Amino acid sequence: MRFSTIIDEAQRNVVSGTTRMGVGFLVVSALLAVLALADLLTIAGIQNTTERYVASGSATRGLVAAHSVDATACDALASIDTIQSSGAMVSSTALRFSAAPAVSVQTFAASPGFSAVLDITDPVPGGVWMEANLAATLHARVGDIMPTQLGVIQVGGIFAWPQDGRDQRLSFAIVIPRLPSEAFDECWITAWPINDANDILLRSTQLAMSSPGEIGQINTRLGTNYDAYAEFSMRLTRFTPLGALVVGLSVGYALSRLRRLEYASALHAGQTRSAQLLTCAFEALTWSAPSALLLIVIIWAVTAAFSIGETNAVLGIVGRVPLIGAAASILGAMIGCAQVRERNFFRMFKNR
Amino acid sequence: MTDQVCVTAENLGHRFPGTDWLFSDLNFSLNPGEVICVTGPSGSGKSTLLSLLAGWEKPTSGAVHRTGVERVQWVFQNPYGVPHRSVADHVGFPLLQQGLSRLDADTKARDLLARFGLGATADREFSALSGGEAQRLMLARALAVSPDLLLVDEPTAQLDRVMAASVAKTLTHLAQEDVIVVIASHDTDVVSQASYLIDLGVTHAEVGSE
Ligand SMILES: Nc1ncnc2c1ncn2[C@@H]1O[C@H](COP(=O)(O)OP(=O)(O)O)[C@@H](O)[C@H]1O
Ligand SMILES: [Mg+2]
Repeated sequence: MRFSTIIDEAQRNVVSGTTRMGVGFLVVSALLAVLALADLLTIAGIQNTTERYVASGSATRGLVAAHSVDATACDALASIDTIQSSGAMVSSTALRFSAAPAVSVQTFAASPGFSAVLDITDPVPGGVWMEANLAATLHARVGDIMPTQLGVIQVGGIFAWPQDGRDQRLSFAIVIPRLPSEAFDECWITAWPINDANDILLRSTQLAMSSPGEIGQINTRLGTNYDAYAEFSMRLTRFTPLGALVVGLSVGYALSRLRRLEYASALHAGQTRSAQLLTCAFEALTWSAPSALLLIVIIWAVTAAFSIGETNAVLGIVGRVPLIGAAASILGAMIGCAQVRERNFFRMFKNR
Repeated sequence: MTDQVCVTAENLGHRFPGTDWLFSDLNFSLNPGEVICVTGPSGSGKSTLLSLLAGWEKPTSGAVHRTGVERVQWVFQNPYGVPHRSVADHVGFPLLQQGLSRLDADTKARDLLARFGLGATADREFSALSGGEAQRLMLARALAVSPDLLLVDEPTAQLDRVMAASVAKTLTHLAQEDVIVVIASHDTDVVSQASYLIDLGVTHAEVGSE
């Protein structure tokens, strides 16, 4: 049989509806979509948990060593890839606002990098960083200039410091940026993913090692050892590529089984097995390939729309489902076809 | 002499486990150009004898010798086709397998269809055919394979008398194709046109009357 004839026969089977292309496409797409979306949801869930963990200060660790933290070295730690932010701080004198002289507000001095630890974006230069509840109480907004007993200050940034188990010293506090000319008391780093080497880096910011400082996690309520990587690598939906294999094989196989009389008849009419398998593979390709393409587009769109992880990385992981599913569909169809024997034709008729 | 196409039955007999002998001690020799009719009542073993001749079942006793037989075609009592493929495609299919181009296969397929009175149906879907048309289509498709041995099981069972007579006539014309044609049938039209008769009813008549 000529190759062009094989293509032509496959095409006629598709056009005439003999291939059941629509059924194959719909069933395999629906089943694979469930698998792919299940994995996407799981990954999004882990990402969500991770973000809450990091945002809660659980990924932030502080070294406490009175008067012996090198603030410049501490700020520099943020240049390391796995360390998102770092900054040094030291407690400072209390402050009273002219508008509310009865209230004493705790202040801290901090190195410039500390604004990132507080998750303040674009702080106004020269301004102080005010805790959100305090700002709400004082009706203060970024850019406001407020008189105090120590002179006028400008609100350079507002940071959230909810009472969710984190170190409450910064609650209702003001952090005043200070150039790191002298030794500070503490160095904080927010590092993700968590890495044991971070504590060594943290200790390297201590100037005098006579008495080693204490290292602690800023918020321990969500646990001290959340391992997102383990969560990811042990997630149940890591088996979805295997599921896709089963789905593809089953759907392809089932569609070929429905046509076993046709295949037996074709063998009886002199078709070679290789020509038959090739025709069968081409027909399966007509529904499995569009299905894979559609699903990859859907996965990409969902990933991008809900900003789940890094789009390409997630596509690389979840995209295996449609690809394996499509390949397995073709394989399943070929297996179903290969199982047909010419003598089945005779048997099937004798039993009719 | 050995490369001459020939099918020979030697003391052929068959019974299924737990059944009586369907037939026994059959001896005959079939040659191309002959139309052989296997006749007998329902359940007498006509289909079974055909499957022994095809080599698809092993006889309980005796042997079937097939010399020079390369292609066996079987046309069943119930015609089978791909519902939504065209009639011409059904006949063209075996020709394509032989390496013909689509154009040549289609031309030859339409010639074959015309010989079975199906010229006008060539572009219809298989599912649109009547039982008789489908039966004749199966014969045309079987011939497209250029078989050495053509086994036809109850070709007229589904047909009305006029159609049955026409199919019977077509079948006897197959003798000119250099094919050994074996037809299982108790249709008198078919029986009367056969060049050779194997009556499975008769082999058991020893039990019965006459
Ligand atoms: N595979 C089988 N196993 C057991 N009995 C069978 C089998 N095939 C056919 N028979 C029996 O053998 C007898 C002859 O069957 P068959 O050759 O189909 O008869 P016919 O074609 O003349 O109607 C029937 O009684 C049938 O039930
Ligand atoms: Mg029968």
